[in-house]
Amino acid sequence: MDTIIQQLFNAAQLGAVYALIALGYSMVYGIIRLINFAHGDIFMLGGFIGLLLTTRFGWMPFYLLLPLAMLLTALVGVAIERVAYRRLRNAQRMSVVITTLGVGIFLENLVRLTVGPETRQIPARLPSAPVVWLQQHLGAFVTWDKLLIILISLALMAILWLVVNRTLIGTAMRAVADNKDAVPLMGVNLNLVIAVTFAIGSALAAAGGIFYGQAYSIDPYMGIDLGWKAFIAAVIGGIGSIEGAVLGSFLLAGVEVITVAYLSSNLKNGIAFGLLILLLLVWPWGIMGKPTLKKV
Amino acid sequence: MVCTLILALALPLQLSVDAGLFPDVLNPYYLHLLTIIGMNIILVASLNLLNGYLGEFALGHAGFMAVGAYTAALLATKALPSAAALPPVLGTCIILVVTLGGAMLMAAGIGYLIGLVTFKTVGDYLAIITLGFNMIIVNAIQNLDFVGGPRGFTGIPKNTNFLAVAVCALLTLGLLRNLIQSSFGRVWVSIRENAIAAELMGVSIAKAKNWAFTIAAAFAGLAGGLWAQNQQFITPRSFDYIKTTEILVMLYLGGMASLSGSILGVVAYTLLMELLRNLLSAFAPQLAEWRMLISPLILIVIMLTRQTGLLGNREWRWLRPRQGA
Amino acid sequence: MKLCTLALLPLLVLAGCKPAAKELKIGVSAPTTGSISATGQSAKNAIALVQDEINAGGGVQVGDKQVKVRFILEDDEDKPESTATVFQKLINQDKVLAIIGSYTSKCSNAGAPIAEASGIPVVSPWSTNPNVTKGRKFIFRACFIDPFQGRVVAQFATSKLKAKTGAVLYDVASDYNKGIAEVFRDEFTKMGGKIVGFETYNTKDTDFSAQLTKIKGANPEVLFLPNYFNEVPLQIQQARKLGLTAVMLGGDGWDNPELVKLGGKVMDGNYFSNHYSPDIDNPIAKGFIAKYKARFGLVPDAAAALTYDSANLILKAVATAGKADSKAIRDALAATVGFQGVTGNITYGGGGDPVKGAVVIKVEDGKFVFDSAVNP
Repeated sequence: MDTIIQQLFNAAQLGAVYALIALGYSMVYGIIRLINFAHGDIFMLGGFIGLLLTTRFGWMPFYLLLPLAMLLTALVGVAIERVAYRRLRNAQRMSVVITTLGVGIFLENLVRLTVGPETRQIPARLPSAPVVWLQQHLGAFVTWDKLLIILISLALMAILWLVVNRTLIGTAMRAVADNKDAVPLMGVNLNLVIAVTFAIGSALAAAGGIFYGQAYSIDPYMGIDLGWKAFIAAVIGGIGSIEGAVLGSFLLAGVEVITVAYLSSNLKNGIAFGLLILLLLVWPWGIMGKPTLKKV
Repeated sequence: MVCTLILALALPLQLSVDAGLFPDVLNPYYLHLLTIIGMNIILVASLNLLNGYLGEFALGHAGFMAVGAYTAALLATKALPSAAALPPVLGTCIILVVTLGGAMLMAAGIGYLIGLVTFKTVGDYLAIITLGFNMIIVNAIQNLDFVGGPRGFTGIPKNTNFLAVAVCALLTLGLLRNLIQSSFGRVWVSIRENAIAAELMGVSIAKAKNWAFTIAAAFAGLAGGLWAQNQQFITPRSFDYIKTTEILVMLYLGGMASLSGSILGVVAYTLLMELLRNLLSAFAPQLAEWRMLISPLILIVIMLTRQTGLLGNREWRWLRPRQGA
Repeated sequence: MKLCTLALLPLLVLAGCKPAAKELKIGVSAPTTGSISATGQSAKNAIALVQDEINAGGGVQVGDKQVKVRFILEDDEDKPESTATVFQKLINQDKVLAIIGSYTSKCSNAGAPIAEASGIPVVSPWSTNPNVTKGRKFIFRACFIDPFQGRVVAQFATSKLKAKTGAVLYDVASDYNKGIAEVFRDEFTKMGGKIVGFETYNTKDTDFSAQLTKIKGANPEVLFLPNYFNEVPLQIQQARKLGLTAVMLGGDGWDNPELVKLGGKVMDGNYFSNHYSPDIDNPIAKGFIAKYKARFGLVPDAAAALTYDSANLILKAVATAGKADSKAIRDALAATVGFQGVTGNITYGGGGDPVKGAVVIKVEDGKFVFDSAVNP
């Protein structure tokens, strides 16, 4: 029993990171129908910016470090959109997709050459003592950092939900998702809306990268695998939907952890992708995504 | 004309390298590169059928390549005698025909089955489903212990050489060229241009799409079969989405819906990578590791300046059908 | 456009052609980039040391004249496919006489058939999987093999640590990890222990918590992690965060300064088997360690020491053969008896595997401390 609860926390931690990445995929897709394959590498970059800040500015507390790394990564995300994607906005969609692939490979190698190819870990900034209450009442050995990562991620997702649903810029984003051509006619600055979307997506991915570096490890190539996983999660949940991306992420993480724990680590990817295909055949637009309902 | 020329060049090239003539200019390393180019042409040209002519966005090509590679490897090691036990040239030919035929059939069969499911969706969802199947194929192979599981299949005999690859690549190009100009091919293009109109004209869209998918899978299997018997060692991981991505990059670099573009894309990409490796290590060894940074930059610049790829959808003359024929 | 591409071809040819020099070329295939690039760097350092040593003395004695030696190092990225390309390039374009490498067993397994077919002798410094040399005439190694290593660790766990229960977590996608994990399981059971968990993961996985939580449920006394130094610290860290208290054991894949750099305190109190220890009293090793330290500011790890031994094995074989001919070098290598190296004495009794001993090393305060020696 205690093992099962502990496994649930393992899944929640992984799912939280998936969700932080998946949201970026989902938002960008919702607004400009672009599968941004470089997004996984933005996540990686966020992790490395976090690593740099922690090692260079050892005095910086975590509550400063996290927003700062998120801000820096957001700037990079916006810059990439400005330099590489904007002028392709009306081009054939596939050339944009290939450009995002190119940007991804570029980022991976940039980090490999400047920081080094080694696996690294972001020095622990969150307390790693076990949560006594959980140990006594549920018999589950869960450390504070794991719990905090899950809670902070959920808080970030809640903030995002408020931004999208309760602010002016959020309304603009939803409007662009609804009809990209009509919205500029209403006097909305389309470039600004898209830039903000990229900024938010990149910032969330950076938070995911930092959490991943604390909980597991980071290396220049981690964005490829995790990016695809998060992308799958976004699709399972219904790409374009915030709630869907979060739900899909936790679902995927849960399935993965259960597969590894009770079947075999070798079946992990097969079952995850099989689930994806099955779900898409049952719900062609994902669990939460509906072609006619609102998308972000 | 060009086909004959290439074949006429390929045969003496293979023979003289085998015999060790002009070791500085014609060495097996260059032939190795040309062989890789040939196999990539088969992959890219067949993917072009789906992504260029049919206008879908399939992301699972490496999966069919894996099916072909493993089928050929199994046939060559378990089912057939080694080439040494057969008459010299003829024996290798027989082995190649059997293994590659098996690889194509197997890949086509699996492609057909997957196609049945895949074409229930369109657009980005089709992309995702094909990607999913790619990963499922890779994962299934990882769980098959008799082919080495995740550690890979070793000890495959080297039955392929540049000549065989060149012949296969030319046959593929010829077949695809004729197919695209046939009524089949025109149906695919009509689906790309306007699916509803095509359906109104009496085209069975699902059937036509599945044909394209099966044929593309068969050629990916062919490339896989050649690959396995050239590398002599395959692992499931070499056929995951990273390989698919590489095929896509070469395809879009060259240009869609153009066989000439597929050839150019492959040649440009492969030579670029090796050229950077050689130039950098000859003139600036301290920069050798920057190769992987320069190549994506070139790709981005090309995509920004030539959005339809290097060739667009133009076709070299020898790949166009003869007028009036 | 087509003309442009055709114009590229001769450029490629030109880039490959360099003036032929009167020197002896030996190839090295090492992972200088990729996830275990730290091992590749050790190899690079050791090769630089050997090259300068031999050429300072005028080169290697071939027949009646002295020839300078040039080592050509190529990066195989720790990928089997790249290793195949590197072996092709070294053999066909650089025309090397012999090859040192590759390092991990999966890469050696990809490169070995190419060298075997071309008749180029290979000495792998670090590949311990039995299949690397099996059935091959031209492939040798400078290290012991996994069955021996697995037995050493199992013996250490049962007799020295008095462990009754053990568990294993290993990378199922790598020949080395799988081979040694299975030997450990069998030997540990044979010696009276009980394996309570046998879990796997795949290369590049970074989240091991599901497997470790399961192992924690079985509560073993020792956990064997026969994986590489870039993953082991993360596994141990995650294990400790999940409340696992077992003593961690490992193989020679642990041996790299990165292990402690990445893992820090969490590595202390754990053991691994290795090819050599810098603390062992061996005059050749002492000299090598002093030179290596002076030049690179580091204590050499086993990969560096084994690379140094492999290079010297080949140079000695060249001198014995008396001519710059791959076949003759292969024969001289196969006849090696009592070669004295940094990592012990090497004798090839017919096959390509030497008979060598192992040591067990304990991690203490971030340092590798000699614990005990085991001879076959």
